[in-house]
Amino acid sequence: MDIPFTVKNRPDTGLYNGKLGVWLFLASEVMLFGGLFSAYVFLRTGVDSWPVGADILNVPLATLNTMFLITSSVTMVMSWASLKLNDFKKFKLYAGLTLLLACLFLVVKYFEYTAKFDHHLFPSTNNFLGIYFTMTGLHVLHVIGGIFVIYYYWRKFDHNHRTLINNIFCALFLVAIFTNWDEGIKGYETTNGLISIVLLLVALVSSRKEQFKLKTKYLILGTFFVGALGIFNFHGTGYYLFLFLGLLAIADSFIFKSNTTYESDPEHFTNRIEIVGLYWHFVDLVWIFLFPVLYLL
Amino acid sequence: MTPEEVKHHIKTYVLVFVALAFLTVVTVAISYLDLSVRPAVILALIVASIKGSLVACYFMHLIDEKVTIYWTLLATVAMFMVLMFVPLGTMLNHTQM
Repeated sequence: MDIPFTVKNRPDTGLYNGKLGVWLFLASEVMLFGGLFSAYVFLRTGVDSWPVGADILNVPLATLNTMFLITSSVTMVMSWASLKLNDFKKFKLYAGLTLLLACLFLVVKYFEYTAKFDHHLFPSTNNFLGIYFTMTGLHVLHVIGGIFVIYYYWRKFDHNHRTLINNIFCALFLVAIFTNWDEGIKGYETTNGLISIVLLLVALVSSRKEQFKLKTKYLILGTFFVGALGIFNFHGTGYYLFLFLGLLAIADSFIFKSNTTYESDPEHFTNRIEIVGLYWHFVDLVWIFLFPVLYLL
Repeated sequence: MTPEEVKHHIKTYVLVFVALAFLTVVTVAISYLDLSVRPAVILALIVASIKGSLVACYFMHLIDEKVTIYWTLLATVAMFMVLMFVPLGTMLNHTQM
């Protein structure tokens, strides 16, 4: 049975169901972040002195991140407008740019967080850092969630393209493991590296042929586990980024099924992109308030 | 929505983007003015509210939306305001003591 009112508007609400659904979800999100903003006001007004965010936090980096998110909001709405104009190629372009900008946001955030940790500034250090890490951390989780959802709709490539991308992620894992060689438990690093090279080579060769698609998946999983072994003895810069990309590759290969909504019902697909966009703009909106409140005041 | 309307929308999106980028620069510039806390907070929140309204009105299409959504958001805003005034209650309590 088909879900009703995915394209046509429901007579009583005047909306298609997904749209009202996502607005109700966003209403609950307002309360979630609202509680934290309220906690911020409470903490700040309850003490005699409160640090200026700019003295502790990196304003130029945060400004750059603000620009990334604002731009990603525009590319998101443009991807929807492209679908309205029946231009799927442009949709891919704009949604891809949105993903790229969202990832850049995370990269900058990663450097911001690690710089704080290097200076022994942790959520437990003081109330300011406590609320800073809680609010931005929750926001980062929203960005990651958004990346997964946008990626799900963006990832409609043909088979060869898909395995190629998976292999690029595998290569990133390999880099992560290679950089692991100098520091860590002796003996395991070399084995990890060698196994990864073999797996990657086989994956590259097998992915060139359609009938080896399934094998490629298992090889990617194998590479992932080898990469996961590296967690125990590697904490260098960028490792967790690789881990994230690897998780994306695994999710891509095993969890997500190919999305055929666009072929079967373009209008339904366009509506889905509209509500994904609503969520993404909300994430942007939260950051618009977080940025001055935490960094500038 | 006709293709002409969509193209018109796209022009609006580009303008809103320019406005948002400009206002981001304004927000940062204000923070370098060394204002005292009260005007700094008020100014920063005003600029952030303008930016937020632009995103909500144009990117999220709230400027032209169905009444069901307006009612949902009205209730949300009311509840949000309650949350914001909860800390104020504790401040009043302090001054009484």
